[in-house]
This record gives sequence, C-alpha cells and structure tokens, in this order.
Amino acid sequence: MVKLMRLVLLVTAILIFNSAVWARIYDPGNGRFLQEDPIGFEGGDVNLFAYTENNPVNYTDPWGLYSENPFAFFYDLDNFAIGTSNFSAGYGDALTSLFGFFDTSLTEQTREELGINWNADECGGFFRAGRIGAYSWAAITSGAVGARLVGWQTRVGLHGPHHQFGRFGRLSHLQLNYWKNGISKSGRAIRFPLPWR
Amino acid sequence: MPLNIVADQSNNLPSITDAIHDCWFDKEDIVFHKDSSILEIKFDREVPENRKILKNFLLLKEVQIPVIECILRIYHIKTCQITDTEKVGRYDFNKLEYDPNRSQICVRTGVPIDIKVTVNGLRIAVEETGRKLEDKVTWVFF
Repeated sequence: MVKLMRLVLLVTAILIFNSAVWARIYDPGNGRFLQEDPIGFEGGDVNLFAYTENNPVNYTDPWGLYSENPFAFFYDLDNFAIGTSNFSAGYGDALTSLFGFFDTSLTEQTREELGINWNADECGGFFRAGRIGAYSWAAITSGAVGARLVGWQTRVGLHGPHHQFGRFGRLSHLQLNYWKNGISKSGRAIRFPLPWR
Repeated sequence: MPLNIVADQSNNLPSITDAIHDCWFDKEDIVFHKDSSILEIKFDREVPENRKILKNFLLLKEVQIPVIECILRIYHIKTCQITDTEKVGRYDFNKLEYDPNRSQICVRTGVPIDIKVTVNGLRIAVEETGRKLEDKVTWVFF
C-alpha cells in the first residue's frame, strides 16, 4: 500500500514538474512554439509563437517563457570585476584622503589623470564597503599602535562571519586582542564589523 | 534548546566554530583524559538569544545576557601539545582548523595559545553542561 502511494506521488510530481517547467511545446521543424507564450508579451517577444525573438544564435528559451542569454555567466564575472575595482577604489579613497581630512584623495586624482574615474561608482555598495573596510582597518590599527605604546601586547586578525553583531547578524570582522604578558586574565578583545559575511 | 553539536566531517566544522567563536576559556579548564583519548575544554558562552533588555537610551540598549558553561570535546586523540607563551590564563576561541593530511586539529585563539592535537579520526563535540555561570550586563548598539 505504501509502495503504491509512493508511486502515485512520484507520477503526480513528475506531471506537475513537467507542466510547471516546460510551459509549451516547441516545434523544431518550423522553429516555433505550438502554443502562445503563457506569460504573453511579458516574455519580451512581439510574436507570441516565436522562439527567442527569432534570434536563436544569441538567445535560448529553455522554459518556453522568455529569451535568455546563455552567456549571462560571463556578464556576472564582469560584474564581479567591476565590484572588486569599486571596492578597491573605496578603500583607496578613504585611506589616501586621510579619512576625509582632504577633499580629494590621491587615488581619485590618479583615476582622473588616467581618465578612468567614470568607472568608479561612489554610490554603489562595493565602493561603500571598501570605505567602511578602510575605516575599520584604520580604527583597529590605531588601537593596536596605542596599546603597544602603553606596553600591551596586541594581535589583529581578520575573523570569519562567526560573531553576531546585533540585528545585522553574523558578519566578518577585524578583531584587536590586547593583553599583558604574565598578567592573569588581562586579555581583552575589540571587534569592528565589516560589511560582508 | 540546549546546545549540542557534533562534527565528524570537516564540512561540519563551521557549525562548531560558530558555537565557540569569541567564547573565553581558562587554561586550567583544559583537561586531557589519556585513558579515553579525549581533550575537554570548558568555556563560557553568552546566549544572546535569551537576553533581556533592561534600558533603552537612544540607539543604545542595556542588556542582560545569560552566560552558560559549555564543553568542547575532541575525541580520538593520539598526541596533544599545548604551548602557552603569554601566560595570561584566559583565552578566546577564534576557530578550529583540521588538516586531514596530517590528521591534526589546531585550536586558533585571539589571545595566543597554541593547542595542537593529532587524532585518529575527526570527532568534535560542543555541548552545554546546563550550569548558568552569571548574568552579564552590558550596553549594545540598536
């Protein structure tokens, strides 16, 4: 009985999956679908029976709903590269403007000189994350230097996302540990959250 | 729900690290049971999920966080080496690292103490003893 129920469930699941995943039937002989696009013109095609806007060289339509670019993965890599360069720009700008002491930073001036400043998105998340990273690094480094000057031992480490920062959740962080050699229970820790997990 | 985590594969180690990270332990609470080949480290763990808010002041909150006693156990130990250069007595966990090629587990800490063990197989557990140590009162943002 249990086996029969499992079989019925499996067949039902396959039927639901088929109807849910492939929205309509493709006719390879005529290079078109046999039914209209179930999502209508939201699929991006003016002809509701057409396959990939009649441009199968550049697009695919695996679900029968809308055209996709199979090379989107490479665009994601491109976005990753842009994000990384924006992060570096934010980090560098914060450092070389001495954290806002100067109006413009050395790195920004260099980008202007090279004519590539248009590339930096100063309002974007990666740029801001870079700036916050630089501020955290400066705060923790100055804390470490200060502690060393008054005779404490220090250690700065980049820690993974294991510490809970209130409602922000678990974030990576820079941690400054300081202690006095041989003094019992003198160890302390300060953490500066970084804006990524 | 009381904490009880067991890791016997290296991909389970992050859950152990999540449980012990930034928890403090005393060197005198490190015990190596040679007969059963188990290393035990008792540590204090704050439980922020059970915190009580005592006062609100702008973006700051005064909170009371219970601190409970937990134990980290590393099983199947062949050799155990602890090097304490700083002689501070109290240390904070950072993470656990497992090197399968050398069958070695390293306990990484913030305040430095070098704890390295070689094992016959990976099995690490963290559990609560059920003993409440204190209620820590502190100020936090938000």
